[in-house]
Amino acid sequence: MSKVSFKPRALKASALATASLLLAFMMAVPVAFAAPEAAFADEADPTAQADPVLNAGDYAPFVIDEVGLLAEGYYQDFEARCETMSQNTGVGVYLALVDSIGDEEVRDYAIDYYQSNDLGMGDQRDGILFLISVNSRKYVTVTYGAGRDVFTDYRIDQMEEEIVSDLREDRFVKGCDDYVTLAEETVDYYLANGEGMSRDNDPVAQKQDRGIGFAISAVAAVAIAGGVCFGLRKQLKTVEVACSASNYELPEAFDLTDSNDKFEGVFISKTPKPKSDSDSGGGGGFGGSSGGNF
Amino acid sequence: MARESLTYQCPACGGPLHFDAQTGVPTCDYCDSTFTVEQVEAYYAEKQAKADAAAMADASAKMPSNPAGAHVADAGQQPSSGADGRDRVRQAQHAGAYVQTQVIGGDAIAAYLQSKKPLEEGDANAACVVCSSCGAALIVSGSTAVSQCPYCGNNTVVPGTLGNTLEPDLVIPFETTKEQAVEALKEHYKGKFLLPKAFKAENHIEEIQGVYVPFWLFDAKAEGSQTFRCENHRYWSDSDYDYVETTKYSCYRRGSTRFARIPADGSKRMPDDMMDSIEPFDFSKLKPFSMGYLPGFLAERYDADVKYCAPRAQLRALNTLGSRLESTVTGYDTVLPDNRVDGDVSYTNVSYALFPVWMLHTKWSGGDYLFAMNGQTGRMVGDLPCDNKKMALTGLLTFLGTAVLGVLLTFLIV
Repeated sequence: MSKVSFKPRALKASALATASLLLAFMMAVPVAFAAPEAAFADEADPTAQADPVLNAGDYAPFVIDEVGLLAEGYYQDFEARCETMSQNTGVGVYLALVDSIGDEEVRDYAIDYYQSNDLGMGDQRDGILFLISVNSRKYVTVTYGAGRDVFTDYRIDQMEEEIVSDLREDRFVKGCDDYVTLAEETVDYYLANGEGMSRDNDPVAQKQDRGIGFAISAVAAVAIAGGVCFGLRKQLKTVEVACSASNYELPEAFDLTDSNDKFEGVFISKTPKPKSDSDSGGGGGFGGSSGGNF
Repeated sequence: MARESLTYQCPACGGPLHFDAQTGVPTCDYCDSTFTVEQVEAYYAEKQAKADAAAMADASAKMPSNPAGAHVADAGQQPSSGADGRDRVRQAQHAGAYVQTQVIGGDAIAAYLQSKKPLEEGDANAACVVCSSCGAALIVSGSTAVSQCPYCGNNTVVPGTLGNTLEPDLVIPFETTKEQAVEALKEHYKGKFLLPKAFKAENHIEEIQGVYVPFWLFDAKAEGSQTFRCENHRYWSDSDYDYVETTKYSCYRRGSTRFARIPADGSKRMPDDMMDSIEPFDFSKLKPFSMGYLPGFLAERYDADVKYCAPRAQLRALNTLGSRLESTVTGYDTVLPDNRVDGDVSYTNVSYALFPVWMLHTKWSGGDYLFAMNGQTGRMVGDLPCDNKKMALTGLLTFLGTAVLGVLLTFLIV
C-alpha cells in the first residue's frame, strides 16, 4: 500500500503563504499599541495657560484639612499644586478632609459644603471638590460649571478607582497625593487638547479597545477555522444512529389520553441600565460621582 | 428429509440462475430465460419430491420390512407438514394481510418463536458458510460462490451449519444492480475535500457484494407519559432598569401510539448505526420469503435473536411517543422535558425479514471501512477517512486569514 504523498511545490507554496500571513499578523499588533499616544502630541502647546483673568490666590485655600491628617509639608505641597492647576484653568481644584458626616448622603453633604464655603472660581463658581469623610469612611467628587468640562464624569470614575484603593487601606496621604497627581494629568490633557477626557478620546481606553478587538479577532478566527474544519470533516461522516421510529408510526394512531397544565408562579428580574457620560459641557448643576464607602 | 443437494439451475438449459435486480425475477446466466419465483419454486418442489421419493425407495430396498409402517407414515406426512404451513403463511402475506401471531399470555415474541420452524439444509436449497476470520455466518443458495467475506474482507470461508436458523417470513428483493452500487460508491467519494486521494485509488470497489441482512420487524404499541417545564417571557424597561417577567408552568401529557414493522437488524456484526442510516425501506415491496431471491447474493444468518433486538425497537418507539407528546404542548415560549418518557411498549406482531444491502469492506492505513448501500432505494452510507495533515493546514490558513481580517477591521473601527 503506497503512503500518502504531498507535492513538494504545493507544500512550499502553502508554507510561504502561512509564513506571510503570520508575519503580517505579528507586525500589526505593536503598531496598534504604539500609535495613539503620538497622535495628540503636537496638536496643542502643553505649556499654554488659561487666560489669567482670575487670581487663584483669591480663592485659596484649596486644601481643607479639618481632621489634621496632613503634615505641614504635605499640606503646603498639595495647596501649591492645586493653586497652580486652578490658576491655569480658571477652575478651582479643591480637596477637603472632614470628620464624620453621620447618616447624611455624602454627595448631598459635599454639594452643601461646596456652596456654603463659596468654593469655585469666578462668577460661575467653577470647580471640583474631592471630599473625604474620614470617620464615616465615605468619599465623593462633585464638579460645578466649567469644572464639569475639565473633569468629566468619565475621568472622575477613573480617578476614584485609583484613589479609593488607597483610602481602603487607610493610606489617606497617599490617596490625597493620587488625587492631586491625577488632577494634574487631567488638567494637562485638557490644556493640550481643548476638551475633557472621554471614552472616545482616552488613549488608554483606545488601547484597551484595540486589545479587546484583537482578542475577539483571535477567538473568532479560532471559531471560524474550527467551524470550517468541522464542516469539512462532517462531510466524511454519513452514519448515525436512528433514535426515532416516526417513519413507522401508523397514520392517526396517536391518542392523547390526558393533559394537565399547572401554573407554578411569576418571577420578575431587573437589570440596572448603565449610566452614560454627563459631560455635556457648560451649564449649571453639579456633576461628578455618586461617591461611596471605603 | 433427503440431503441430496440441488442447485438452482435453469429449467430450460440447466445453466445457473441468478436473481436479476432490474427485472425482479430469476434469470438464467446462459440462455437469458426468465422465470417467476413461484415457477422456480414449483419446479424445484416437484424435483425435491421426486428426489425424496427416490431416496425413500432406496432406503426401503436396503432395510428389512417394518411391520409398524412408521416410515410409510413419515413419508406421507413429511411433504405436507412444514411445506403446507409455510405455504399458508406465504399465501396470506402475498395477499397483503398480516399473519398475526397468536399471543400467548401477552408475549407476542414467545408466541412467534414457538410458531416458527427452523430452516434446514437441503429443505430449501440453503447452505451455510462461515468466515474463518470474523465468524460471519452466511446463507447461500447452492449455486452461489462466496469469494470474500463482506464484513472483514477475508477470502477464506468454510462450510458451516444452519443450526436453528429460522426461515425468514419476508424479503425485499434487490432493485439495484452491482453496477449501480459501484457508481453510487464513486459518487459517495466525490466532493469530499478532506478525503485522501490515495484512498479512492486503493479501494477495491469492484469487490462490492450484495448481502441480504437479517432484520426483525416489530409491530408495537407505545403508551406513556411525560412532564414538561414551560415558560412565557415578557420584557419592558424604564429609565433605570430593564425588566424580565417569567411565568412558569408544569405540563403533563399522557398518550399512546402504534407502529408497524419497526426494524432492528439481527446481526451483531453489522453496525446498528449503519443499518439505521440506510433506512427507510419501501415496505410495499415486501414479498413472502423464497430462496428464489437469493441466487447471486449472500444472506447473513442472524446472530442477534428477536429478544436481543427488541429493546432497540422499544427505545425508538418511546422516543417517538415523547416527540408526539411534546408536540401537544403549545402556547409557550420555551418547552423543555422534565424527565424521560415514563412508558411501556407492547409488541403485537413480530416477523423476520431479509433486506437487501450492497456492502464493501476495505482496509486503508490501518483502519477498517465499511460501506453499505440500500439495495432497494440506492441510499449509500459509510464513514470515510480524513486527511489530518490537510485538515490542519486548512484550519491554520483559515485562522490566519480570519485573524488578519479581524485586525484590519479593529484598526478601522477603533
